[in-house]
Amino acid sequence: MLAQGVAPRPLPATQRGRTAAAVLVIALVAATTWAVMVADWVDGTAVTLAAAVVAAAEAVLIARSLVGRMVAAIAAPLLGLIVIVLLTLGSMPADSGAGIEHAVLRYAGALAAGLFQSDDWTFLVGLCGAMWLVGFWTGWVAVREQRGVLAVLPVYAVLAVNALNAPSLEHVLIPEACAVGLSLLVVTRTHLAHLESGWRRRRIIALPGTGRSFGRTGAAASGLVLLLALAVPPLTSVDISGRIFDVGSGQGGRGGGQGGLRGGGTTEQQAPIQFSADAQPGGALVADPRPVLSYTSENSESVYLRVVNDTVFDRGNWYYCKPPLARQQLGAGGSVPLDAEPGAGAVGSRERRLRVRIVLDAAAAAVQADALFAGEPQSVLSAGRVPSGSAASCAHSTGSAAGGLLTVDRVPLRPGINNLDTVALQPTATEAELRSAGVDYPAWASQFAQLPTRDPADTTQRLAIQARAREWTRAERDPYDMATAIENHLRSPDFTYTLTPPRPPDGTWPITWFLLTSHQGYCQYFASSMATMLRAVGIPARVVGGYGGGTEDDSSSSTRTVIHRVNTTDAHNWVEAYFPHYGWIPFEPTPPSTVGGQFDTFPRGNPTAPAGGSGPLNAPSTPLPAPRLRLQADVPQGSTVTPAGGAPRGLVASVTAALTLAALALVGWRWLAGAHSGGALRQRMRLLGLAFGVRRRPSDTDAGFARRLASALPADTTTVLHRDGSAPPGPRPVRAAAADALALVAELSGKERYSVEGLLPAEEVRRRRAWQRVCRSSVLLFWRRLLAVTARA
Amino acid sequence: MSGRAPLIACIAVLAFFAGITGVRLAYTLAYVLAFMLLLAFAWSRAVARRVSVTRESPSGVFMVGEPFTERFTVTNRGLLPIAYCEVRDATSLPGYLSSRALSLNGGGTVTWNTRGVFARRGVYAFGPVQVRLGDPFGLFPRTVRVAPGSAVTVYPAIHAVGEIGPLSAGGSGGDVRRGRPVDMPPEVAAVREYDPADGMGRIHWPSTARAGRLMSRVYDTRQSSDLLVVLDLERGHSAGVAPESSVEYAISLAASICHAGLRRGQAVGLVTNDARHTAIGAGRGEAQRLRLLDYLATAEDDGATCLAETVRRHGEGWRGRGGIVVITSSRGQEWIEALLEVGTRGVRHLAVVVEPTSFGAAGPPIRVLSAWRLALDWWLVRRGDDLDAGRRSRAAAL
Repeated sequence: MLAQGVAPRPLPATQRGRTAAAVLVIALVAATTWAVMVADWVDGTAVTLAAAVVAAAEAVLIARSLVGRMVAAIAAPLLGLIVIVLLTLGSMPADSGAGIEHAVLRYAGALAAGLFQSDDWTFLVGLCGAMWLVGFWTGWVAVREQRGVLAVLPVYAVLAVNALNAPSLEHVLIPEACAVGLSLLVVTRTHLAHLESGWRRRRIIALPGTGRSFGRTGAAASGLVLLLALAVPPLTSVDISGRIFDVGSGQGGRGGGQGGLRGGGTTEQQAPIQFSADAQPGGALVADPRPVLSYTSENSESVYLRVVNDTVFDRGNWYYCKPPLARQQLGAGGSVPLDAEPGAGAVGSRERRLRVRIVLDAAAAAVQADALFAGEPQSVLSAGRVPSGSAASCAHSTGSAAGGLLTVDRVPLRPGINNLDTVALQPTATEAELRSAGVDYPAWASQFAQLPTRDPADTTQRLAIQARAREWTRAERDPYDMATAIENHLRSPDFTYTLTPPRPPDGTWPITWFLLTSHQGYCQYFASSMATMLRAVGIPARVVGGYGGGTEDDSSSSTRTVIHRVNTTDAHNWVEAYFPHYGWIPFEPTPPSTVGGQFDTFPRGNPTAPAGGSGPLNAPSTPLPAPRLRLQADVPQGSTVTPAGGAPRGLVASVTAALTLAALALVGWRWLAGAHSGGALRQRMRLLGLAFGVRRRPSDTDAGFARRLASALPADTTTVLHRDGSAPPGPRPVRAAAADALALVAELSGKERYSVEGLLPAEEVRRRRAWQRVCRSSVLLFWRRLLAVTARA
Repeated sequence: MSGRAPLIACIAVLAFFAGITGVRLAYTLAYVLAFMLLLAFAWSRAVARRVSVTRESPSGVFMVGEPFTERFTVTNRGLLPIAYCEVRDATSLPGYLSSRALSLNGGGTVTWNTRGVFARRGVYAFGPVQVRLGDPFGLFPRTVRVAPGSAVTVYPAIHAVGEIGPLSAGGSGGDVRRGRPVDMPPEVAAVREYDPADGMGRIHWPSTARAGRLMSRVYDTRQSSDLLVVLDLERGHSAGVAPESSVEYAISLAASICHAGLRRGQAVGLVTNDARHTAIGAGRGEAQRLRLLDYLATAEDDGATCLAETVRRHGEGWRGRGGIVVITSSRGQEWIEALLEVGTRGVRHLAVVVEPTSFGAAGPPIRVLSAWRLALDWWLVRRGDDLDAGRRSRAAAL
């Protein structure tokens, strides 16, 4: 009796949309894991790719099975645990324990706190667990909860941690950019899925094409965001994390990446060559040269620039003492409070003064908050004024009655000072004098001759090094010859300088492995080994950290004063041994090489002392011209310098080009397929005919031209053979569909042109859709035609 | 929850670590999230200001079963594309879905028509229309009210039940008066003084001759043929679900009978036992018809008074004025006795019983005693009956 309302057309299922979201999520997780893998801050990260991708796929499947959250929360960890165990069980290192219970405990510990451990397997299991968690979270929240932003935030956390830990951004940039782009697409796709769910729930009918249009808009917005983010330069390029987080003190650190948060220097993994406050021989290095400073010196000689003395020995590594045992402010005229009495032993009796003017790079100035000296620190000025800073000492005693420090192991300054005028003392004692120095060390020097150990394993290694040192110095009678013998052994062809030294076995000190087995390493290996051997034979020693002499600036060769430029790859370690009455004498155990540079031994005596170069301490000297820092534009083409604050131009250009091409293709496609009037359709069809070699004749009707064009389309039976004679799978039957659509377009266009009533709205829609089918098919057909033409050619 | 708060927190953390480390890639990650947030905000704000919706809706009075068409036009006056735009129509018409979701290019316009049928009586509002749109990332959804609403009244369906009605005085039992009342010659009840406005045909010549002055006829107002419709709207008697419910059938029948009576020139009144004890006095003409239909368009079975009491209360006052039509789906028998009590010699009232069991109510079908069958006219209506045919079911068929 009573009429019913008109039932609306039911909403189309969003199966395809959910599949697209699932594919995007898995691709995002894979890209994220790829970025972690190529960052190369830990070995064996390939297994994390499997863990993360499996986790994402598992989350997607569980989400699409529409089980409850509780079921997923129970099932997911179990499945994840199985996956992780399968991936990492084979690489589990053997230990003293045995049995399943022990293995379970090891896995539990590794999953709970593996990311904070230095052991490779434990860390890897922890990383697998973290990546699995990220993958599952992303898949579940994106597909099931349909909250895109929440889904991708953990991915950003991983990408950020990866960026901060990556030794070099060279390989990380592309995968991280891919991951970021995919994450934005996931956000938009997830939002569309969320909207579609809401529309279904509220019985809102989506007009045809809404999803596609949303996808295009979302992709454009994502591209815009990515492009903007890549184009905008960073606000800072200075790493000041060390001032906030007390990291990088050395022990147990993992990482060695771009930021100070990663351990502050070269550690077990690849790291850029740059100054490190501590000497921790570890894994391979990556050259990432950046300008640090330029300097001029009296007589234009090249000098080593001391920054810090590493005096604390721990398991083969050398550390600067933290905190320093004594600290005093700089004195008048910027004088460093170093005890100047030779009797106290802080300085030697044969010294020369050397003044160096240093200009630090702006970026380095904020990081390099220490004064640099060409020898034992004496004074430091900045722009003629005493800079805000102090002198720190690692010696237990404060020295003489004058109150000066017996050693000055570091002169930290207020950050941001980039102009330094430093004076230092260089020993001028001859070899004969040093040989006759004897072993009458002052009491305070004994602290620099100790090699403390923690456990029996450490003691074993220390004894092995000691045995090797005694073997090398067996024939020598005085400390200087013993030191020279060790230096010569290390500089002999038996030892090779390399930036990629082999990794020692777990539990073995890198220098033990270096001295006894591999004989390959870089300056930290040589300096740490020599200092350890010197202490092993009773000679007080310390490792000095700083920079090598750098390179002469060619542009300054014509001037009176030579400017030396120092970059991060000039970071260097050398050794100083203490000789009574002559103070700390430098040694260079690192051999020269084409990879590392020309490391010459220190000359003895005063062969290069300029006239007037040595004299009374704090005497006025001839003013030196200030060096000029080279601009970034002066960096030679083809060098591997990465501008600290610049945008990655290659990536920006690639993304811009890709987006431009995509935009052009989109505009072209819309122009071709978006025609809807009769005239426009005739024009497009004529162009399509030209593409397929059919020219419209003046006598052609719409239907006739459409028939000729359809007959010229490549047949569905066209088969292009590969070079080896094999054939690809059968072609899709698109020709017939295109021909039918062409005929329909022509028929309706003819009706529009010649009939009185024109086209009905429904017929206009049919014609537009038919033309879109023609355009879609023509892409594949044109490709077939190209293949056929190529094959014939 | 759009995820803005965790996003902002994440940006802050990323920016902090990027700032203290100076790592370019960390900055890029922070920039991506920050730009996403800013772009989403600006996008959402911009498109919300540039969207407009026009709507061409029906208005006025309609009848159940009538179709209608609406036309919506959404225009994006801005340059930015609108990723999604939900046009939410708050129309309360049952079974009518006019909300749509669409996407718009910059400067684009989308138009669509929606068709529907007024399936149920009542007063309905078309609109208002709200547009919900936002950015592609879903961070800043916005809702804009863009079109005011309008109202329509939908009257109950009226069926051709012209021959249905109570028998007037003088008729024999069981007969049905056929034909339209206006076709029958008027009966003269009295004479009065001539009025200059009276036509020549109205002059009663015998009385004029007797009185020696012009006298005019006074016609019978046929009070005895007036109609009182008693509609049972007591709560709990209805069965079935609207629009296929017994109360909807009853209301539609009441509207049809009232409409037919008014078309015949009868004065029709309507009494119900709803919560307001609605009683519309008898009247004629279009105004009465609209008054009755307006009430029936919104009538609800929310009463607590039993039908028998209503019949007694209003039947006594109606005695002698004409017939009574009681429309009910009640199984009780008190109302039948009450209807018989208010009966008048020579007038057979009509009982229209909407059979509740045919609408799914439990229990046996309604049975009527033989004596009542003879005393009243009966019309049994079952679900699915063709009411337009106006067939009557005699009590014998019950």
